[in-house]
Amino acid sequence: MNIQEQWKNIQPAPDDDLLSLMDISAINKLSSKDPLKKIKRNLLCNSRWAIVITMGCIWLFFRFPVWQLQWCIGLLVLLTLPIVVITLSLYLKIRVPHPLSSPLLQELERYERIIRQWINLHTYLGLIIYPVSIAGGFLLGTVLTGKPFEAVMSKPSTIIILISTIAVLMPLCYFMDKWMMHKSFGRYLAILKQNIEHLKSE
Amino acid sequence: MSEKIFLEQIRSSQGIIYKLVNLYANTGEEKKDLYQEVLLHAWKAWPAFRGESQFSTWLYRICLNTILTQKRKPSRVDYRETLPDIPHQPGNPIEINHEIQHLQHAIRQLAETDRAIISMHLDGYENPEIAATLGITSNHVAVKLHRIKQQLANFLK
Repeated sequence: MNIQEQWKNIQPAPDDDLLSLMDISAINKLSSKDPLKKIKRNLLCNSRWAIVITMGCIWLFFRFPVWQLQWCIGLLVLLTLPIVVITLSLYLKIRVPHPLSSPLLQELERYERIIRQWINLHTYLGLIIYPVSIAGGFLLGTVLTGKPFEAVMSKPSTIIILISTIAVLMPLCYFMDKWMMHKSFGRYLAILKQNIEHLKSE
Repeated sequence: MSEKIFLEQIRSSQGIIYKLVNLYANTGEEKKDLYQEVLLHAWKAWPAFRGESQFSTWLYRICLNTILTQKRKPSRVDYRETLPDIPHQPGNPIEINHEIQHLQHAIRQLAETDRAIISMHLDGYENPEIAATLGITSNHVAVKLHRIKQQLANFLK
C-alpha cells in the first residue's frame, strides 16, 4: 500500500475530547489561549493603567508646586503619552481570530512581529520610564516628609542616594522585565522563527 | 440554521482536525487544547466564510494557522536515518494499522512546516493550492515535497 492510500485510510478514532466539542454551547464556553489574545488583554490593561497613572501625575503636578517635582512629573507625562498611543495602536493591530485571507507564513510573521513590538515596548518602559518614575517617586517622598525641599535636596548625601537608587533599581527593573518576557515568550518566539525560516528555505 | 450547518460541516470534516492535531500535539493535554483552539477559531471565523473555497480547504487553513501559532511544547525536528520501532497495536487488520501508525510516526519526525506540506499533498491538494495556503511559491512547494518524500522513503524502508 503506498503512503497516499495509507494516509487516506487514517480514520478518526473515537476521541471524546473532539466529540465533546461538537456542540455550539460547548464551543461558546471555551476560552482561547491564543498568545495574541493574551497580549491584547494585557495591552488594554496597560493602557488603562497608563491613563489612570497619568491622571494621578497631573493631580500631583498641581497639588505639590515644587518645580523640581513638577519637571519630573511633566517629563513622565510626556514620555507616557507616546506609550499610550503605541499600546492602543498595537491593540488595534491585533485581530483574533486569524484573517482567513492570510497564508500561514504571513500569519507566523505577523505573530512574531507583534510579540517583538510588545517586548520592545516593555524595553522602552524599562530604560526610559522607570528611571524617571523612580526619580519622581524619590522627589515626591522628599516633599511628603514636610522638611524644606531645597534644604534636603542641597545635601550631597541626598543626591548620592537618589543616583544610587536609580542606578540599582533601573537595571533591576529592566533585567527583571527582560527575564519575564523571555520566560513568557522566549521559547515560543524561537519556534515561530524556526518555522518561518524553514518555510522560507529551499 | 447557521449553527446547524457549521456543525454538520465540522462533523463531516472532523478527520482533518483529527489528523492534523495528532501530527502536532505532543501530549494528551496539548491535543485537547488544540482541538479547542481549532474549533473556537473556526466558529468565530464562520460568519466570514462565503463559500469561495471548499469548507475542507477553509478548515485546513484554520487548523494549520491555529496549530502553528499556538504555544506548544517544542517538537523534535532532528532528521534521522531510521525510525525507532513502534509496537503493534491490537485491533483491526494489524498490518494496515501498523503501517498507518508507522506513517504517522514518520511524518511526526519531519519539521513542523514540512508536516503541513506533506499532509496537504497526501490529502490531494495540488502544489499551487498548497503554496497559496502556506504563502510560498509553487516551485518552492515542489522542491520541498521532493525532499520530504525522500526523507519519508528513508524512514519507511
